Amino acid sequence: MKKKKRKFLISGLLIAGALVYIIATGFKGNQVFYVTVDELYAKAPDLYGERIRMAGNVVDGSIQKGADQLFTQFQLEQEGKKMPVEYHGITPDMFKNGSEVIVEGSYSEDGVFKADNLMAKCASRYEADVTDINAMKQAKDTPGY
Amino acid sequence: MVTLGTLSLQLAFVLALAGIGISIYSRKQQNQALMEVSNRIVLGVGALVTIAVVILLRNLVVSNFQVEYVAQYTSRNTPLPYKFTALWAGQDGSLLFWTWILSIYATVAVLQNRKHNLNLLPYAITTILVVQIFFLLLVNFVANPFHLVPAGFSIPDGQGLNPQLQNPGMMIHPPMLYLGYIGFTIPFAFAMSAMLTGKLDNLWITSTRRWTLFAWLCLGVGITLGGKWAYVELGWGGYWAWDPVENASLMPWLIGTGFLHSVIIQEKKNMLRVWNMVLIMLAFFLSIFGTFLTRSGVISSVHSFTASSIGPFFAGFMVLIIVASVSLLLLRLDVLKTRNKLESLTSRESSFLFNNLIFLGICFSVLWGTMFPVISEAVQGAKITVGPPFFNQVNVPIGLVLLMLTGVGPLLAWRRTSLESFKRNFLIPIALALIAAPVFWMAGVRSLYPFVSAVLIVFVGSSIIQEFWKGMTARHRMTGENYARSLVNMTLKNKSRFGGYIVHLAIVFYFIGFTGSAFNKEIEKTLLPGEAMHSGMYTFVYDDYQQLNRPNHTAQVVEINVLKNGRPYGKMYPEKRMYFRSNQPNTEVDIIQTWREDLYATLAGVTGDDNRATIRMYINPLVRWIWVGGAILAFGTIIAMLPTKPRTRSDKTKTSDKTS
Repeated sequence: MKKKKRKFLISGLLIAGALVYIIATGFKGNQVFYVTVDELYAKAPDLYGERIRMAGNVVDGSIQKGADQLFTQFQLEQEGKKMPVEYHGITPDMFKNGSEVIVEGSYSEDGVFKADNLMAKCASRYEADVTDINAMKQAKDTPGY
Repeated sequence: MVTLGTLSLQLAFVLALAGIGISIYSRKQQNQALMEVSNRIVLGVGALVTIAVVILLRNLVVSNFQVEYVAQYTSRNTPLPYKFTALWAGQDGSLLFWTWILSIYATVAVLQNRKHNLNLLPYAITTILVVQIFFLLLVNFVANPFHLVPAGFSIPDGQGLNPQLQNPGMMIHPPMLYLGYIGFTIPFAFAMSAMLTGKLDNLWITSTRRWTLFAWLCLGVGITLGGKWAYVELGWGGYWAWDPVENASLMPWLIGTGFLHSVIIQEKKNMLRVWNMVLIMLAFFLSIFGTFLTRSGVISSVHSFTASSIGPFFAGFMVLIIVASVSLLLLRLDVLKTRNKLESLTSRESSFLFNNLIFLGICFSVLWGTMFPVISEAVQGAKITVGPPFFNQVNVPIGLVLLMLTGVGPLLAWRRTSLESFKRNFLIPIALALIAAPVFWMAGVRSLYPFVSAVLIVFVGSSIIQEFWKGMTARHRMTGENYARSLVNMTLKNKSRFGGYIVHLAIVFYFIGFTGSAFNKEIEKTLLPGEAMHSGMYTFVYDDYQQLNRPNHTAQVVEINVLKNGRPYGKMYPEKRMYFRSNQPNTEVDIIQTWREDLYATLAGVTGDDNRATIRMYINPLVRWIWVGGAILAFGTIIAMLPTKPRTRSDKTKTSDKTS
């Protein structure tokens, strides 16, 4: 009976160990640093070449498209700090002036964020924009509304 | 009208509060009259919340923009069906919706149990009402859907519902998830009641078996529908992105799956009693946690950027769940422990145990990955996220082990597997897998995971078919019924077992689809009319462009002529729409779907005088198998849920396995 118990314990531990190993190694090379624009400027040299994710708003009027629509440049703004971004690929539908976006990519000496992943705020399955109603309340004071 | 809604929610709150006290007292005093009072309170709360829901729906339908929620999520020209679905489009409404479903579940549970389950029911009611109180607290005081716009301020038209949410799949996907999340409340409540009363036999499990199955089914279907919606609506060519909100729904499903398996061991062997308690607590906790993740914006996801005021309330409630669960568990630990031990590594029991370990492992990795930004920020001070590469790298190998267990588990005998029975059960599936392996290799399936997955699919698929075949032929020999009839009767005679096997088959279908994604291809080009791009045996010719004016949007539509090996194969019409009201572009994909692969076309836009179009084509093999797998999963679970005829005790011991 004792031997059996040990057998179970060992195989259980083996499985648990394998799981832990797989999860632990999974983090290697798959880490993305989530920073604010401000932080990126502050920590810049350390983050060169790392994979970085940033959130912010698209600065009004800053969107420039290449001839083939597959190349996009814009300015990302967060808490007053701006960052030029280049993105290669098809932009999502929600991407437009002023929209909230998350970009993922890398940053280097040239001071331009190279994004290969661009997510725009999804009209959540459960949630529309909470700020809408506030905008509506402000609009109350605007004549003609 | 609106006042009546507010009032009924307030009344429901007070009533539920009273119900908590009465249900506890009635059980303490063993006072049946009082128990009946608390039963009726549950029904009363259900009625009151229903009134509130009906009133909110009415306001949505008649577009009463005095109600802030109505103005936020509908407009006058929102189509009627979507005015109804706006009930769960926003935070306040969806919390009310949550409360409502729970109150209906509670009503059904009371009606089911009030006659014969007097021991467990009162404290189960207490637990349910505590959960109910939490949500009533939110809809009454924090996120009231009946909140009015400031006085003297009239809104001519509402914001309208986002066009992406105006999709039939979107109408049922969130409620399905909610039905699943909330469904775990009932088994959890009976588990808590079992611990409070000390009646720790299998009664709480048998009384809630179908509840668990139902919750699990709704979650599974909801997750699959969510994937389908993302696939046809969002236009990025995939169905699963390991987004926090998706992960939030996957976690309780995984734990629920583990629970469904391990309760079989408790029912048959009276083992794992502590474990089952832990699993149902986890499933319930993760359901609340999932609602919290979706709602609170703790983890920024594509679905929730903005932080919300209800976060701290959820955090408090989750702490309460943990404290209550853990302390009860510790209190009853001695009684829960059993002397029965596992006998052999190669037994059904231990395969279930391993399967549980694996489910827990996947759930843990998903949780860890989802929460990593929060954890790393607390520990290291740097917010680090992990994306799909992490989840795939971790979960693909674990998932493959799980797939293998799906095949191996049901073939192992209870207690221990003799060499004879091993040969008898494994010979054909292993032989078929060995034959299939070189075929896959020759066909070009050569990277490790897809190859292993393909071989396992053959192994597991054939083992399931073998089980049905064996049962069918045995019954045919015994009863003389024809094959089709004996297949049906055998399944109905043993619903939970064969229903479970059908679900296993569904899992095989899912894995076929997942494996296909290893061979996805995409190609993206800007083309002039008449130009073409190529991928594999397909040629895509940009034929024609049109600008169409429709009632609420304009659409750029391109015609793509698809050639397969040079021969005409089909035409595709992806669109780029611009909705007037929201001034929002919207991609309409076009998909040609076959069992072999999907051709998936998206249009980024058409520009210039020469009408150059930027088109992206995805070639996604085997995606359809996933949707079909979802249907099979639902079918199998429903079979397993069908009521079994009441049996006598001696019968019960004779019949073989429950769901596996």
